[in-house]
Amino acid sequence: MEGYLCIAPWLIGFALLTLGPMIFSFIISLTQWDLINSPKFVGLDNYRIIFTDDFRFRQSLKVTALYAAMSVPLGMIGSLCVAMLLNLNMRGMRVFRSIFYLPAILPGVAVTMLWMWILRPQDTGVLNHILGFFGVSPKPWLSDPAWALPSFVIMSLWGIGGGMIIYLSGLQSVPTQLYEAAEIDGAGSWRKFTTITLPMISPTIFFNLVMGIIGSFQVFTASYIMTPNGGPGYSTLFYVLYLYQKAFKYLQMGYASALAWILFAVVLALTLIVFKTSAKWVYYESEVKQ
Amino acid sequence: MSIELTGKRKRVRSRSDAELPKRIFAYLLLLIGSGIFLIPFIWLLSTSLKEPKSIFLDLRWIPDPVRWQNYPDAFKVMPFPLYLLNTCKITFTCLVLQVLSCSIVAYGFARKRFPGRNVLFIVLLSTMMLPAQVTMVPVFKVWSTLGFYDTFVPLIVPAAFGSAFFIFLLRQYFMTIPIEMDEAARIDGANTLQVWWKVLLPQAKPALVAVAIFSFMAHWNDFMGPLIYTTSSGKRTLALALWSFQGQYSTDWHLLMAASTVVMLPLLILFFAAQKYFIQGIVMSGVKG
Amino acid sequence: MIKHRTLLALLAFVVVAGLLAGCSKQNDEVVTLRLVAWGNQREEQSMRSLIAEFEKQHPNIKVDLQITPHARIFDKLMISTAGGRPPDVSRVSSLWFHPCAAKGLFEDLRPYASNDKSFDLEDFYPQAIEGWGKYRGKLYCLPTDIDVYAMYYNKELFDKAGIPYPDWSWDWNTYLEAAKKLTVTDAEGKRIQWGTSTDQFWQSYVKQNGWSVISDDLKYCTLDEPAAYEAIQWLSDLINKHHVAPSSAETLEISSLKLFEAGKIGMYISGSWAAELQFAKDGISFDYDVAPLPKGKKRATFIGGAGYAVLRRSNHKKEAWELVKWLTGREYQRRAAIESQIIPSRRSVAESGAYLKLNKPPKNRKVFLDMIQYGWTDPPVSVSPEMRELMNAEIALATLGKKPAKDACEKVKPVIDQLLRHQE
Repeated sequence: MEGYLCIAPWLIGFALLTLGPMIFSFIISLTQWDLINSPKFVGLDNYRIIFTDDFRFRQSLKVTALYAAMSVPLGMIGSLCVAMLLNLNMRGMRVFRSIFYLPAILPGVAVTMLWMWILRPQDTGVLNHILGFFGVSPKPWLSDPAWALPSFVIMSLWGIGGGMIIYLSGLQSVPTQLYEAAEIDGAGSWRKFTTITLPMISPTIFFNLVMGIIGSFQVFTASYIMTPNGGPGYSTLFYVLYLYQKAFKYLQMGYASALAWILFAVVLALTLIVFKTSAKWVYYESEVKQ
Repeated sequence: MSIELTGKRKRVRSRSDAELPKRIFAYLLLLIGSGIFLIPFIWLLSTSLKEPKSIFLDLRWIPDPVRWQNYPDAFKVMPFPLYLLNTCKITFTCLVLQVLSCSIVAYGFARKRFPGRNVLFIVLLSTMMLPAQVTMVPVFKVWSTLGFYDTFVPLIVPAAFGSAFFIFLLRQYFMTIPIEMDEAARIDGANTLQVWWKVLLPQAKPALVAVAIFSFMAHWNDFMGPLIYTTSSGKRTLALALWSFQGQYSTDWHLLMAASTVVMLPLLILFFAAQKYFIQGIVMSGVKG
Repeated sequence: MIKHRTLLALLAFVVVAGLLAGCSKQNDEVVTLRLVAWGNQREEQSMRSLIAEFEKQHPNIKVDLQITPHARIFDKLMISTAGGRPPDVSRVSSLWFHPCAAKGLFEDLRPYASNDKSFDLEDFYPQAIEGWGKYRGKLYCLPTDIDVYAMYYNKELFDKAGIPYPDWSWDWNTYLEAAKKLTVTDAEGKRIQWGTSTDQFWQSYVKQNGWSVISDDLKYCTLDEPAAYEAIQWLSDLINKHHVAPSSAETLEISSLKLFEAGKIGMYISGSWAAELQFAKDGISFDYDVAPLPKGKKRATFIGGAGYAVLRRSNHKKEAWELVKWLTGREYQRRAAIESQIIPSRRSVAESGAYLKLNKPPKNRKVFLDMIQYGWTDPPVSVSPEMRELMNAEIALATLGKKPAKDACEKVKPVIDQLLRHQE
């Protein structure tokens, strides 16, 4: 009994703020409702329109998937590389670690605004200025359909610090004996990396992958601030941005709820796929011990 | 859970096999990398101290002359103390509520036996997968029907019900505290609440601090919540105010950057004051579980 | 037990006190109206002083003015109405008047207007009333000012090129020829001066070509017709073929507005507000004036503007009506015209000295008033902002020169059809 009392805060919250609203949300998704006038039941019409007759749904799904496909692998590789360097255990690592980690904790609004300023097109943007130093011609960044999404990816790479710290802890828990044994066998750095490091930190990679996918499907703040209308040619119409527009700008709450359920299904499916494949490549120490 | 990120054990190894050229190369890479990571910060500061006139054309890194006046000017166009107060109200109330509620729930899951515990724990974990957007519309409707639209209530009250992620984190930590300590307290006549308050909480201080920091960060940085639930300008939080500021004075980048710096500042201070806990918290979150 | 009793007593006290407070408020009868509007610092100042006057005349009404960026008031009205706490009065833009009206956000002002002897609706420009005042026969908003697009031109550049100033006789061809003559390249072939700019709504070119973007019954998109995409192609050619207007790559940083102000654009198409809000503010050094937009098959220009509406959920509609009446009244418009060079929505004020005889450039400001009759406004559909966004996104690709206008139009047509089909 006491156990239930202890978890009561969460249980009540779960019932009132999660389970109840979930059921409510599904019912809303079967209606046309603006929260002002009375709702109209339309059955599965919202879902039907979304799947068969909504250009922006397809576009936003494409944009989000593209973004995930670029930012997740790049972010994972980038943060792993930085973590490997920081794992070398030399003087001054604490300072470097702070520098790489800091951007990840700052307010999204402030960071986004800073990047809007950095990503100014033409030669007054500082990024173009720096690139110009290396002979790269100025890019239009957020104002061009081809460059807008990559701009978001670049910005996301500035925030790889969180993943980096997790890798770092993973790297440090790899037993040194394994490396020593490999050295005796005459293994080079690359071989050590592929045969020891990667398998040993695979649970960390797995964790970062799942978090990365979930995170990239829920991008909102940056897109809402930089391109509130979805950017040139809808090239940065992120899924949650579209959902937000439908819900709170156009007050199509039924439609927005249907979009939310589809988002849930997509994220769930992707996570399950990653989980399924993880048996093949994620290596848990405990399995070996048995 | 090893949190010490610079173990002595390692140092021995790296000294023995990292030859000098390799190390110089690594340093070089790190220097370049951190240089790139620092550029946005430098540009932020530099812009925030520039003359408004030539803001678009002045690409110097060190502003000349340095215009400190931008900071007071930025405060003139937005009532900074009010927004700071609003943000603090929300952030700190949420922080206290969240630490208390999450730790008691985590305590229940870690120490109490009751039917359905494991199922409920799995339910708890799976709520982490649920995008907030699914419940966003109904929750909005409920709060507005109750008359709490344009108040801080919808932003604060959910914190009293805990957060799945923090509960999970604390539960894992509580599991590492030997149960004998609870039992010893019980023998001394402590009840459940006392065990939680006097035994587990002091023991779990590092984890609690980490949760507190993450809670602080999440609410300080929250944008969508205040965006949806508040409408009057007197109820803005810093994040929201910064955004509104951008809509109104979109060409005054020197002021925008000054305001951004000020909004970032508390987190920077917090980070340097409690760096250990930050890193610990994020490490804990990544621990295979 | 004792504790409980104290608590109960306390609770009772709080409730009673609350009730008393509620009662006493009613006796005072001072009503606070929440007014949402946009405006730059100068407009805000002028608005505040005019509102202070209103408060003096109506001692029982206080106005809480909340300045919000133009682009965000629409979202704000929608979400705060859904949240149950909308403002009492809002400034409304013609750009998103229709969806608000369609969702039933606004109070029908007709009964108030007809019961109020001191109010004369006939004084307002009918184009404004039709454009962003009425929706499906109801009067939801009173226009306060009108933005008219016309062509500003730099007299010095014209004199240097030896071209006569633009007037009502100009058509697309005269315009293009002049633009070509006004475009200057430097020794390296880099353009340093442009004949014109393309800041006006691209829809105006379609209108000038005698066509429209959606059908008269508002049911489907008509952009896939030659009259539509040829007009857009013509616009795209100005930038990408004739190079007489700066491309987005050339303007983005400095914006064509800044280029015009720097004396690098000959003919700058923009709204009537630009003279005050931009040129005067930024300090323009050369002599300029304004001319009508050149005509294609027809003469057309975009007119838009703002108005004030009473929110249906307001608890103080009577007082709100008084405020709206004041904000769209003669005195207010006269002052706004003098202080901010705004074109009044009331003909009596617009055609009086207040606007026309302002001792500020542009001299030929009567052009704006004369262009009103050729104005087009957004079609009265509930999805107008969404429709505009969807079209702009695709048409932008054409004006960027990324694809032919025909392709862009053909791609966007089914999308708009979808949207119109599923209007709620």
